[in-house]
Amino acid sequence: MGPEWVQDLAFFFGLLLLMMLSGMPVAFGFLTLNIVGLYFFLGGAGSLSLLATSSFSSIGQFALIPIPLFILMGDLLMRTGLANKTVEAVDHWVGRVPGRLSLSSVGGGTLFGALSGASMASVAVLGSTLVPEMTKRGYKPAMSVSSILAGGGLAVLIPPSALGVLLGALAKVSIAELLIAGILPGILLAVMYFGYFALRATLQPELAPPYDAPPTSLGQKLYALLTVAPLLSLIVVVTGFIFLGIATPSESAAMGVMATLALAACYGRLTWQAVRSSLMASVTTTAMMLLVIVGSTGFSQLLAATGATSALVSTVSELDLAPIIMVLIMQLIVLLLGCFIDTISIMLVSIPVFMPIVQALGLDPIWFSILILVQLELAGITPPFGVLLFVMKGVQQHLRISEIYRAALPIVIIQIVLVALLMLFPEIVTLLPSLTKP
Amino acid sequence: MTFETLYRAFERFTAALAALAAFMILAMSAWITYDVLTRYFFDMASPWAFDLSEYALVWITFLAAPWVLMRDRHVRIEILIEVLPPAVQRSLGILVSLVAIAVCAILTWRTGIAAVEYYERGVMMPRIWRIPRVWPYSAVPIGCALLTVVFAFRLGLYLRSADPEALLRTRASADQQAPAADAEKDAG
Repeated sequence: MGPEWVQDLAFFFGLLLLMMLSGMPVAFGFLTLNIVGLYFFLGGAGSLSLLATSSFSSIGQFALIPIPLFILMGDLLMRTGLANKTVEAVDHWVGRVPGRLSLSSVGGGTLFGALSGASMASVAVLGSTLVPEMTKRGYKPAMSVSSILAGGGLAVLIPPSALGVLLGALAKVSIAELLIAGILPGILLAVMYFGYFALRATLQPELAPPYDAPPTSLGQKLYALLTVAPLLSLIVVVTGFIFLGIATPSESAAMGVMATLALAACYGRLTWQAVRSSLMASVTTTAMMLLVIVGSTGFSQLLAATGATSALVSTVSELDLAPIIMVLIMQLIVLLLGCFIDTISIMLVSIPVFMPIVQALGLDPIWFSILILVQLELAGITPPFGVLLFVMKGVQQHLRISEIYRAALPIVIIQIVLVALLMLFPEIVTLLPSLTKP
Repeated sequence: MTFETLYRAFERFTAALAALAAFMILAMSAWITYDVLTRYFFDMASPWAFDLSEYALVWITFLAAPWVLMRDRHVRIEILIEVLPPAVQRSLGILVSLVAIAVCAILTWRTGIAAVEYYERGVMMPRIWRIPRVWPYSAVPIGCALLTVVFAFRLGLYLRSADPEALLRTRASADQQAPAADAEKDAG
């Protein structure tokens, strides 16, 4: 038996694991642990008032407002058909290059993919709509399934990303900085994907046979650009306002929602049905995510109050490992957790333990958060257990799981290359946020 | 009154609360935008906009959470229970529901006490925009109480159905497929 804090920690995580595997909704698993922990470790029913206070203060935060609003904006774009317009325009511009549809789907993923913050839903939706389209054109899973899985990874990095906001809130770092920091790594990843798909389609044309799309004239291209210019400017404005410090992410998100409604009305696409479904989708994900924040905040408090956090941090610093090794270990843990549990649950379990360590090691929390964000997405698509692979299998029943594994592999490798690049050149992450500081 | 009738009635009730929460999200975008625009163009400060947004977020969460639970859309890990035989799933589901009922009841009790104290002592929010703390705070005990009831219904579902997990799955996937369908309909 180790020291007392090791037993405490083992007890907490054991109970948590039990809760999660029993199929209890994650937020309530955390709340159960909080109540048990507070009662037995801090003494009696009186200590539960800590939870009563934090259940209000942990979510009554202006910084969390982008979660419902980014999701609402993304959903409105999708349901009013404005997002489709964007993909069409991208398609016109991509033109007659090899692997055109894969490139369009990665481009589309970049623009609106997982705005919902839930890459599972995004893969489910894109997988069930775009893959059949590509299969019809003779695309093999290596091109079609790959490009959908790739799009999900982009969407969590490039703002507006609701998952990024959630991570920022849990890690207690500046959400504006975190969103800005994701831009360059996101663009880098997109470029690598584009390069990969174009190269693969050139080398193995049978994977993505060129089809007879009517050639697009320059006029059509300009017209396509004209029709989506307001849409593109919407994304640029929302991100730009945050970047230039004109508005906080929450304020940008609110204006983004209003602008999206106005745009949809101008395009004649604003239907009551679309607004209602988008609002309900936003409220569903918001309630889910924020309740999970309530549970996780209690968990951090519990770890801190029982002394487990500080004991863990001092033990880790006594190990005297190079910080880079610690970062690798923490990333490996995320990857392993990803075999069993979904993105949000991984964040909740790991962030309260990781962030104190990161701070003790003197690492840049923003840089670390971006690494974790990439790793979270990677965990979802890594064979054999990545959850997104099973979601894809779920919506494309006729594909064998081995085909999906093969399709995911190149994407996994590209993301590992990205992680390596971000670790070798932290400037890719830190450059843009440093520009926003006076 | 059968279980089904009660279940449907309560589901409609929670759906109405979720719709109210959804409307609050829309209203929130409007008042935040109003605040930003008036601040930039007319130099008008509306300190209430910031506070109101924070309080609204708490209300949105706790008003919508019961409905989200009714639809089984709170994230949970199904990887293990999916491979278990339905009978074991059922027993596990009953056990989990009982624990969750206890947890939500304890939360309702503790947060309820806090709310009553805030009310009796007349505690105000320590902000520029001074309102009684109980107004934004009561979202928490109300939400917890509703969640307790939802878990009780969930317990009933596990007790009455032979394959409750399959039932929950169909309910959850019913709205998950929606976005694509809508997009296609509208684009067509």
